[in-house]
Amino acid sequence: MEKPLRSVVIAILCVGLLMVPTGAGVAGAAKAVGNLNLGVIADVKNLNPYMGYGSSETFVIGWVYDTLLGWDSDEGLVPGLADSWEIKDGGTSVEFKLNPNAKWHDGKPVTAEDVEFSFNFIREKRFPSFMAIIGNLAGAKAIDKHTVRVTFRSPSSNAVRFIATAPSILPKHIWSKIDDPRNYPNLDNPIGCGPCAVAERRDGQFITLKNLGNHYRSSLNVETITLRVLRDETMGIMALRRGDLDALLWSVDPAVAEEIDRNPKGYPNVKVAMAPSTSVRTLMFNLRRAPWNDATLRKAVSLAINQKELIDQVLLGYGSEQGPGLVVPSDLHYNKALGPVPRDVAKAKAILDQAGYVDKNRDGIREDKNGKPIKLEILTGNLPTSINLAELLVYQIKQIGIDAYFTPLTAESLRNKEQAADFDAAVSSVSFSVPDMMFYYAHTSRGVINEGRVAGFNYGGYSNPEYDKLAEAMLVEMNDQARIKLLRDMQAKLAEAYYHIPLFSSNVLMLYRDDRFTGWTVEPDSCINNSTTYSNLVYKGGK
Amino acid sequence: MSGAYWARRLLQTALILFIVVTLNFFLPRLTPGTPAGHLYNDPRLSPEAKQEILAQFGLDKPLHVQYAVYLGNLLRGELGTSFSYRRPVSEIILSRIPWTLVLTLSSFLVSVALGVALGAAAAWKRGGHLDTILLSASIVVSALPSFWIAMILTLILAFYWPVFPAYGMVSPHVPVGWNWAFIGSVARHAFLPVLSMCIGGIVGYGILVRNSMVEISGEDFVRTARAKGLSENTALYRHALRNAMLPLVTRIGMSLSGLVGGATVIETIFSWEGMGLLIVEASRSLDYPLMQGTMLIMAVITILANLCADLAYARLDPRVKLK
Repeated sequence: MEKPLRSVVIAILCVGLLMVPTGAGVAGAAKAVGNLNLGVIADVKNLNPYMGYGSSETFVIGWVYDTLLGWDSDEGLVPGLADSWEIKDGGTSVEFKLNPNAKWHDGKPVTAEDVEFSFNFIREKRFPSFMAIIGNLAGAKAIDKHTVRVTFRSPSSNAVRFIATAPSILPKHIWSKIDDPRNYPNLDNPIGCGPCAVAERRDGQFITLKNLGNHYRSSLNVETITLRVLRDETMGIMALRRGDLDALLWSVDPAVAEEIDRNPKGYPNVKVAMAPSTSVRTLMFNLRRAPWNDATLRKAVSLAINQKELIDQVLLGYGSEQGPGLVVPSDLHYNKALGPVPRDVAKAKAILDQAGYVDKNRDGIREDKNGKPIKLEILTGNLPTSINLAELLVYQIKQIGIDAYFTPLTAESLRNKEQAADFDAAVSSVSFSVPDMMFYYAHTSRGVINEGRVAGFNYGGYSNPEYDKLAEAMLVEMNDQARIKLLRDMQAKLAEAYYHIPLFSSNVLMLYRDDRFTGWTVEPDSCINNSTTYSNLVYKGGK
Repeated sequence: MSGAYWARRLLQTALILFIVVTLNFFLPRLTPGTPAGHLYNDPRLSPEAKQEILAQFGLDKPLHVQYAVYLGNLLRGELGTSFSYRRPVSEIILSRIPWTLVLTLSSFLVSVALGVALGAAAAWKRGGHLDTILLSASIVVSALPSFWIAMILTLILAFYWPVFPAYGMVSPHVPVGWNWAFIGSVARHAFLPVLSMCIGGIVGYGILVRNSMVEISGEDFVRTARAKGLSENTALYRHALRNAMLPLVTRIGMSLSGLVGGATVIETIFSWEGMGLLIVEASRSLDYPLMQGTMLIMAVITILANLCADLAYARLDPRVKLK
């Protein structure tokens, strides 16, 4: 998935992730001790739950406000503000039963009317971050004090996940009085029903959250969480080393992780946490363009790729090899039958020979069926790691007699080329942790060209009626097991197509100290920044 | 200074401002990407939803219409609402300027005062120890980027020998206001960034004054001052230095806009929430109203600073006539 979008999807889902309860019962206020200091790059610019998109903003919003449900990478949907939920009317409505003990920070009870208000507010005020679901959201209605029904125009399995885990529930008695909610930064004493309230904040400097200790579900064990804003990554690492911070909430460069792993004495008490990400770097082909519309040729290229070498050279070893299904093993819907394809240059050459792509003039480059030498232009980003990756790819692909070369472009130029379908192949990335994306990145309708631009994100123009059928069924399948089966079948289709050839998945690398707090828990993608960590953290003492 | 001069000058200023305002509007829009990109690029969005998002940011209308709206707002004194902060741009800028001035004004004053004193003294005893040190320092410092100086100072004075805070503007829990705890906390936090900026500034102003003084000290009027039996200090400060100030005034005039524009690199390293960092943030997030607001303030200050420098020239050198 493209980086800006990916960050927004992750940011929105983070609200839900932080809501995942990991302990039973109400956490006692007396147990919460210790002040946790976390380094962040981004400032908290606004705390409007429907307008705050930055990573620090969603972190704070996730602690101050609650969502109906949470998302757990193993279990899927889990209770949040709602204790239970039931999908009705063939997937066009969901009924949520709220926890009767939930209270707003000002002491008023959270009721179904607040949930009704929140969803109707999103629909009426047209907040841009929810625009993708507004069209399918018919409305919400309080059934009784603690029961609310949300209705959709058409059944959609992901709509349930999104509507339940992304939008925070707002107190009606406060937000109904706000005239211009899209331009309301909500920085002064935001009232939510989450485990924490904002205790102190200074623009661009820090924000301190206080654990109120009376939440109906949270098992947060620390007394306060302070986000310290550090605009410079090096300064953040130095501050962590000095002990000012307990962890950094951004993924550090592999070179930093390698330095700390190699020289632990130079960084006393500092640890590197490593988690697989859900994003896969790929080599995407333009299937509209000959000779790359031939799957045999693409298959040969995939056999020429040495993922381990790419990981060692580009990521200094901090990554993992991925299978052609493009879904990472940590995702619930991963198809285990589709493991990484080992490099096999001899087999690749044999396939090319058999398909008639041979080097007749013995210049080291194979010719296509019209006698023209096979050239492959690979578009890539212009950052050093992207160039490094492209250089290695070119080297590996040349081994099978294809004249590969790369062209570095700015992110915007690269996207323009992709949207205009003006490329042979491009270094890309996909993330299918939100399963619907398998529809949006590979369904035929998303690759149609209108007025010279590709309509969706299927830039390479992959088109397979069988895949389309599976994808359409997946979107409306409400049964989890049946949906997972469809998703696995879709991965098998993608694997056969060699449309996106996997290159690797880079690890998320975060730094933390283990001298003041223990209990840091690593989870895929979120690394140490997840609800399990915050429930498990135990204060050991120290300044 | 005649009335005609002022009329011409005002006309020039208005013209320059109009050009700046126009460039200010169009340049951010030439930057690749759209401000709503992070929302706009959701593959699930229908074309209608995309259009609605653009409309919410006021970007759905033709450019000339957007430009007219922008000019209209400016005439009413409105800089718009920031896309990312969801607050008025003027409010954000006003909250940043005092913090930037803490850094830039203190480093500017220290740099000018010490630079002028050192430069004058070095030139007066040309070839002496001070002169040699200043010349050598200018070569070394001009080869060192400010971020490197800042990092080294931080390593020494904030980490190996932790005397000063390494980042931020004030410690948590310190009550904001005119109290000693707050002033002391800000001063401690400002020390390293100001020092990082001063090193280059002192040497820069020092060399400028030194070179100007070297040129002036060979002039007849300086020889006359000495021949009249005036003290060395009088000849130096009353006669030579005053005449050597002209290039300094030009440089100061040019630096004045930087006082409000902040020091982007230093502010980033020390997480100092000033104007420099704001400009970077606005550009990164393609926050058009914020980009326009910050650039406009900078442009206005540059224009005013140039005007002030011209006036100062006339005061310092009677040969300069403003016509």
